[in-house]
Amino acid sequence: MRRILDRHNVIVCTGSGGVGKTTIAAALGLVAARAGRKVLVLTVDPARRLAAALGLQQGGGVIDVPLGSSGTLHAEMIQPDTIFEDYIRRVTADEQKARRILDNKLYQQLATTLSGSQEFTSLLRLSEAVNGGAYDLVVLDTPPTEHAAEFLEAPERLASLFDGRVARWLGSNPDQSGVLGGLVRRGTHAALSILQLLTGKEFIAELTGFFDGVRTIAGDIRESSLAAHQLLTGAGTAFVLVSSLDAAKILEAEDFRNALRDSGYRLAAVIVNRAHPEWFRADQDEIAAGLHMADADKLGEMHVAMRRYYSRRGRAHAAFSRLQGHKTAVVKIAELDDEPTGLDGLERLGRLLQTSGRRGNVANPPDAGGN
Amino acid sequence: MAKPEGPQPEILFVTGKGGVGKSVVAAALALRAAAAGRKTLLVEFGRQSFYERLLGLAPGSKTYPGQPDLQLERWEEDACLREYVGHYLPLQRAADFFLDNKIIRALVRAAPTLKELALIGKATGPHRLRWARSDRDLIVIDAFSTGHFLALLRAPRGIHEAIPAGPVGRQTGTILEVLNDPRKCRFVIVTLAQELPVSEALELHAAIAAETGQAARIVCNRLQPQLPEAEISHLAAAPESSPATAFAAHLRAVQIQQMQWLKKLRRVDKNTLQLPQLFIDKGDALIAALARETGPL
Repeated sequence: MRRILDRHNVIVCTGSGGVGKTTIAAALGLVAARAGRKVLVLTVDPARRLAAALGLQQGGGVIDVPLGSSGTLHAEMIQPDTIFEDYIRRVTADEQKARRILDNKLYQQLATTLSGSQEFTSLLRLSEAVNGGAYDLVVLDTPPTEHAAEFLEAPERLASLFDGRVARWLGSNPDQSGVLGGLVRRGTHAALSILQLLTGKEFIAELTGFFDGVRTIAGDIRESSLAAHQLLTGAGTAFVLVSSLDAAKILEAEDFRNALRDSGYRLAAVIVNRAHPEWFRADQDEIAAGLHMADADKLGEMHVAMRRYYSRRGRAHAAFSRLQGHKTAVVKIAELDDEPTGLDGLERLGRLLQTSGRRGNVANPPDAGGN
Repeated sequence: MAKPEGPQPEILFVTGKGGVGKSVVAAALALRAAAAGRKTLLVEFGRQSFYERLLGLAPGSKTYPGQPDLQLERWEEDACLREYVGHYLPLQRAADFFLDNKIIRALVRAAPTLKELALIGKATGPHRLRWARSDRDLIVIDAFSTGHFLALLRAPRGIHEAIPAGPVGRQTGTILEVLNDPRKCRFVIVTLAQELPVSEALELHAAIAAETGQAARIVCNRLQPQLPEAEISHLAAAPESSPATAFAAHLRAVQIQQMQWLKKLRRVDKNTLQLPQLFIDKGDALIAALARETGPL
């Protein structure tokens, strides 16, 4: 893991919800900072105690995480709505034009849920931070999605909405009589009539207003998307997939790896988080013998069941390793007894991430793969 | 738009933080209801079926293995939208023509609120639309995890407030009526007895209450089994630490933490349903075993 952190200036942490992505992103940032790099961690929705540990606040901008002895770690909570708003103000360069978009009721409803807008604004912020040149490494914690691959599709999905042609069709044309007037191609004309029939003229009026505003910034959105894409496919950028050990997640990891490869991105590591409890790292035969000696029969039974269960999951992990190519490190992390929500916890997690990396492979418990 | 007559199914939305076992719990709740004689439908969202993978079923399977009263469906946003549009246009061809138009496609693709409306519109359909009647007693929906679920839940109100008039305003108005009515629709939050899942569950509970006025039920999943206290004390008293004492100390620490988090959950739902962690890794066996642990909600 250290090598990956040393050799890149952008790390993108991806993974579906609930795998501990934000915590891993913060721990990776901490490891790199301890190694002497100037690091910025960009996160979207940190859990409260993690935010507290890093000193993060909504709208607080970049903050310095006090590390004591060595390293510089900065962190920022991305705020999609204000970044998008700032972006619109910047590219319209005209308060009146900006207001036309920002005051639109549909925009206000869509701004936070607009598909891809969180991802798009994350990438905007990432580009800014990288181009600003103030950091050696920027770690991006991607917005939560049901599936890891959604992150990759999102900017393009947003760009397609802001496509100039869409805005031309859906915006009103000053030379013609409203959205559905004029010499539009017959197919689209008919489709838009149906849209009005289904949604009503009130909806169409808001939609028209929205696209009138959007038309002016469509080009900028496309350009920004393209620049972000170039940054992500560049040699300085590595993707890390955070996952867990169940069958569904392993299939998802496979889908994600394919999606990455198809789009020309580099998957540098898969981090299998909370793979097993901490006690499972000890010698399991010794635990069994100790319980037997103490006549702890019921505990012994529990241990047998748990041990068998986590061993089977260990084999699922072996399948995981096979699915990765040689260029991708697979790192397995134990579930810590205390959730790593404070700086101490992040340090511990960071150490685990490093030890796994140094061995180049995973330290399996003695009986993993057995019964 | 005449409303359907006669009894209509209860709708149960199951949500929670990602990774807490939401889908498995949703299936267990559905299986339990079906075993008790209620005609049940288990719904999952999305392009890929989780249950088919988990249960090793053939693609497109309609019935839960071994339980004829439990049907399975996967709702995909585009298909829901197509179905909805199809009911208001005279010909399916017209609906296809409309939805396949490039401009409309770009709009639908990027404006998720439309897709979310299509999903939640379908979920609440049996109570609102005559053509969407259902023969089920219960519909259990394995819905999205927290953030996405709230976007789904908030979509109808957001749109309704932005555009109260016209067909869109009317449809969203009736969706809201169903969501706010505990006789028609209820919410279940699945969580674990751990810090992050609990704090997210409590926030979600408050958000659902703010949005619908409903108190969601809480299911606390994967609780460590009851420990043999005498054996634990005996081991703890051992003079030297060993892997075995460390193992026992770990289980006890987990148990103490669990009790703390459960207490917090009980403050918002005093009947929080407690489900044990089962060390079973085969999907169907796990769901069946969990269903046996599930009381009626």
